[in-house]
Amino acid sequence: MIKLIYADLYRIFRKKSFVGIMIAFFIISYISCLLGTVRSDMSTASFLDSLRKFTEKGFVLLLISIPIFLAVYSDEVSSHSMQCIIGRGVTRKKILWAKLIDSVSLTVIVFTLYMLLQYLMVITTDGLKFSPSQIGAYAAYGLICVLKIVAAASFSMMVLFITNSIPLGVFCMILFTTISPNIIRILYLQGISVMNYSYDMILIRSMDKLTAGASAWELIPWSAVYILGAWFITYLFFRRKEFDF
Amino acid sequence: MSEAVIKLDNIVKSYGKHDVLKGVSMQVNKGDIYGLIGKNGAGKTTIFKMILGLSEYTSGTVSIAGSESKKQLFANRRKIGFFVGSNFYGYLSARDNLQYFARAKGIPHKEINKEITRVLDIVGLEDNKKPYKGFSLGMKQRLGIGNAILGNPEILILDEPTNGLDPQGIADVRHMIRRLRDEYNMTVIVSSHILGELEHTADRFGIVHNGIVAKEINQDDLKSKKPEVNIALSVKDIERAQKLLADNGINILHEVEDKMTLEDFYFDLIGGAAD
Repeated sequence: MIKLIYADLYRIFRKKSFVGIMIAFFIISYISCLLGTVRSDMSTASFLDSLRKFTEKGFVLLLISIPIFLAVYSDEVSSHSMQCIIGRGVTRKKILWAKLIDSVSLTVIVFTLYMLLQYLMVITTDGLKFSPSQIGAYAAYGLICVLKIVAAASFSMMVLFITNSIPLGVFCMILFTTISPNIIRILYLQGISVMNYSYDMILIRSMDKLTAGASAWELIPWSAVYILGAWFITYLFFRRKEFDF
Repeated sequence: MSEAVIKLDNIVKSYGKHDVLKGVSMQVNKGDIYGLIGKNGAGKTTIFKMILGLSEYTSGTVSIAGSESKKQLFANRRKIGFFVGSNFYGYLSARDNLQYFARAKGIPHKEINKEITRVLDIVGLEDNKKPYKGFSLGMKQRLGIGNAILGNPEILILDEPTNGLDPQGIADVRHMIRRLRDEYNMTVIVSSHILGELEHTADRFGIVHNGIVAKEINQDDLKSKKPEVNIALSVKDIERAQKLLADNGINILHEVEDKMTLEDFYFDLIGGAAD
């Protein structure tokens, strides 16, 4: 499986459009963040808050998550290359694990670079300096964003592999990354807010706890339930899937 | 007794009440070039899907390289290289696509570049640097065959490898198949709906008809079908030849005024060879 992951990552980093979009994204986000967020008179705490708001605008997560989703999952479906791997004796379970690990690895790599750029902005701006607790909160925020993207990609993968429809998969990715929290927020079942039981709310609560310096251990089992649950449902359909050439 | 490298025993594949394969049994022996022939839709590709695990069979057994369990069957699929169409990433070059598959197939890291160079040389794409999406159909087919032989597999499955190729391309593929068997000791299963194409390439044939392998024959069967020996003579003076043969008690079955074929003209002009 490690060889499969290595092969996938090699392929994705050879994809010029993926690398190009990522570089353009880093440059644009750095400049727009610099112009719109950084003021020399702000405290580091308010700066951190501004950075979070900037990232939460949606397009940042979308610009990271869509190219990753396309590179890891959609290209596989459109090229039919998966058939070659299955025919060479690689089990379908291993392929799905490799895809999940691919998406986690890529998201961590890209998001780490994105946050390092922001950190670079801080240390090069006069009068700003992160305290250790702020660095912790900053890292926690990165973790929350990575989990949000990976969960969205896992659910979209489920839709993509069941339906074999790339547009539907991409639509789900957009839905789960940006639109769904706004839709879920207004949904009530017998007077109870659906939002309270959504993965987004778990992430928001965990973020609040981590920012306050408290433990958010429940994030681990809930993430496992959501991400691995989506993986398992995908596997149930995928293990007997008929492949065409 | 010949060693069976692929053995299908009474394979049935059903979609609902419709049986696509109705009990396919066939055996491919080590060193064979096995031609799987049948019209479009006869079930040739479905048989390949069963062997490769891309589709589950309803009943029956598949054995690859003597496998006796599902686990062994999975493991032994690593001995197969196959071409079933061109399944590549459009944005990668031929070399980068093969790099991906070489890594995924588990070819040792140190050997990858050397192996890819060898394969690209065999399929004639060694100097090509452009992305796959800009390839002609012939180049795509060649790369597909290149991917199949990557890592020097023991068994090679080729599904209609000459589809869409020009006459020279078809001749090249024929040569390549024989070379892979003779020089690299591969066992080859190749399918086609063009009978003439396989007649001179394969040693054994499985005729797929109505969802079963209706008959398995070999080159000896083709020779033994007719009891008498027919010879063809090319003569300029037909009357003199007729008299000469009649005087010596030799019957003339039929006379044909031979014409040049399109293939003769084509290869005369460009200097290639049909065989």
